[in-house]
Amino acid sequence: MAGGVRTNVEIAGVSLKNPVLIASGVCGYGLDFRCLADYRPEAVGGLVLKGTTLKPRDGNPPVRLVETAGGVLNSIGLQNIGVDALISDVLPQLAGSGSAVILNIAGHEIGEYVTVAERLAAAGGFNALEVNISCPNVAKGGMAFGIEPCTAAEVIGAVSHAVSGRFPVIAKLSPAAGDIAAVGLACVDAGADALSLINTVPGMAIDARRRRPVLANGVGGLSGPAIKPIALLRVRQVFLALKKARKNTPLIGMGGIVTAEDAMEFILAGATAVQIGTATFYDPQIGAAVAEGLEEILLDNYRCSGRDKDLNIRHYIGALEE
Amino acid sequence: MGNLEPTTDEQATTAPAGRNTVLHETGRVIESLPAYGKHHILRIHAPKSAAVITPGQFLHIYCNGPIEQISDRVLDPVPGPSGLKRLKRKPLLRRPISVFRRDSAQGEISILFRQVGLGTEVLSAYGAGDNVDILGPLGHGFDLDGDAPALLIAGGIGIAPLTALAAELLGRGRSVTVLAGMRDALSFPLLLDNSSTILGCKAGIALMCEIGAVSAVASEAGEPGTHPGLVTGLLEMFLEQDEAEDYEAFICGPGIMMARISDMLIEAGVPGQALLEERMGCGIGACMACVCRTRTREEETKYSRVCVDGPVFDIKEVVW
Repeated sequence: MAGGVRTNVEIAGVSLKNPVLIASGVCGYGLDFRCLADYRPEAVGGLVLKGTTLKPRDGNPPVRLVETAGGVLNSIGLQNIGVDALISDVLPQLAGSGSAVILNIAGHEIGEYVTVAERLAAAGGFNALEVNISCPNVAKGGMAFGIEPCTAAEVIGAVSHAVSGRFPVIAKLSPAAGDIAAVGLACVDAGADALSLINTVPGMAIDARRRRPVLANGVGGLSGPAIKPIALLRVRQVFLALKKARKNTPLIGMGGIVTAEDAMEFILAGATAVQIGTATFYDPQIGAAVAEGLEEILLDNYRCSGRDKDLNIRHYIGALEE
Repeated sequence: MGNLEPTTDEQATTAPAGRNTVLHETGRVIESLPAYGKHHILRIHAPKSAAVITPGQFLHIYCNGPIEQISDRVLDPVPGPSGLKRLKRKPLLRRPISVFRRDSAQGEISILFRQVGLGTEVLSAYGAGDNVDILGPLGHGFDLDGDAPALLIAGGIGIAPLTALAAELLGRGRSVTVLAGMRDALSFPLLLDNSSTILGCKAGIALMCEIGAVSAVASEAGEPGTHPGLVTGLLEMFLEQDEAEDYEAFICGPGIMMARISDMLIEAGVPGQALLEERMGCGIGACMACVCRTRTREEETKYSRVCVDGPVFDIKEVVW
């Protein structure tokens, strides 16, 4: 950490050495990246592991992913090893990996979320639980819960009760919600310790020659730079709604972050931390680059202003001037 | 993953053990050669990759990196000799591309690819001196431990990775027979050793002949010297030989071709390995995008990741 720069933040009691997390779905269970020769897991604030359900899930048939203009449309369908294998095979390998481990859970019904959360909370070995109420790729795969404030609150309330304070609960919000601020507030009232947003934007790609959807599932979730303006607006809306309601629940912003400047935009909009997803596909180490780039932005600002507070990332959170 | 027992899960999904180290290398284009139609060859100085990559493994190439240095060429409003048009947008993802030839002593690899979309279109605009951002080697290559005579069966651009394989197998003293199928002889994408013309299949299979592989070519257009029709026709004739089942097959081509070829090989009792292709995200097993259906030992099926569980699979394992 150069010249008094401080980029460490705290999300619901979890200390992150910097605000950059790798998003759920792009880093598997945190182990695949270890094949990289120059991998530095400690360079990012943490990893959010693949969405996990009660039983192992097969996922959707291929084609599961297609590049679109400025983005990627995917329909993996929550292929995962199930909560028991996560506990027995994965978590022990992640102990002492040098950054936070956040688990992401998904389910078909509230009971499934609760069982998964209970088993994980009992097992331990991680730092926080992100609840996916916004997966667009599975029928009843969560997004249905995240569209309306009342159903979102039901899931988050049940999971919070199951975890009963042992781990912070993060609700992952869908941009498909009609009123995302209302959903966010409902989740906070139901016990969410933090909110992460946005999940992918439902979308479609068409192969005109074959007159068919490109993805076998027809519909997918759009991610990447194409969705960044949508994500920034959602983060801002939720941040202002929480502020108005006098809640200081932290936000984790994501959607198309590629550079440190992108990350800073989310922080100014109101995010305490950010997640990077799609960009890791072309640069698996991009999280480290963004974290280092944030330090440089703070240093540059300090050099221009001479104000000490410009060296601390916390003074940028929600500091957008409107 | 899927319906596996937890012990198998660990091997399949959570243990990078048994995987090679993946390097990030900036290669440099030595030569860029437009081949027939939409085919293109890049000779790249990439000594780290060249030293370790094995046939069937692939490189994940970022076709966006040197966009500035090639922008003049790509943005040329007049289509160039390779048919390039104005670039509509920048590619975002890397493109998985197998190695066509490798010269580890010179630190060189060559890739042979067909322009099928934005990424490969940009890649074909790279010229000598341009940097190439490479992640690799990735995936499990062909299992080369056997000693049976090798039968290589290629469909279209599938010839590219099988050319690297042929060289490796011949170097190991194994006999190599190549059966290749294509739409027409002129599309046979084997522009080699700076020869600028290919006039029919004889020249088209020049490399395979030159390095000692016995070759036959099927062409849907049916030019002289080729077997008119599909490569399955060539395989049918091959399998009529008594000693056919002594061979080990290595196949690469379109999915529908590999499905048919696999059925024929399995029925004839010929073991084989198939190199699969699928749209990829990360290329290192994390995103679960590039899956294919495979059989488990318990005769159930599951989705395996082409990038790390493959791209080479036993033909009996794949559910086509």
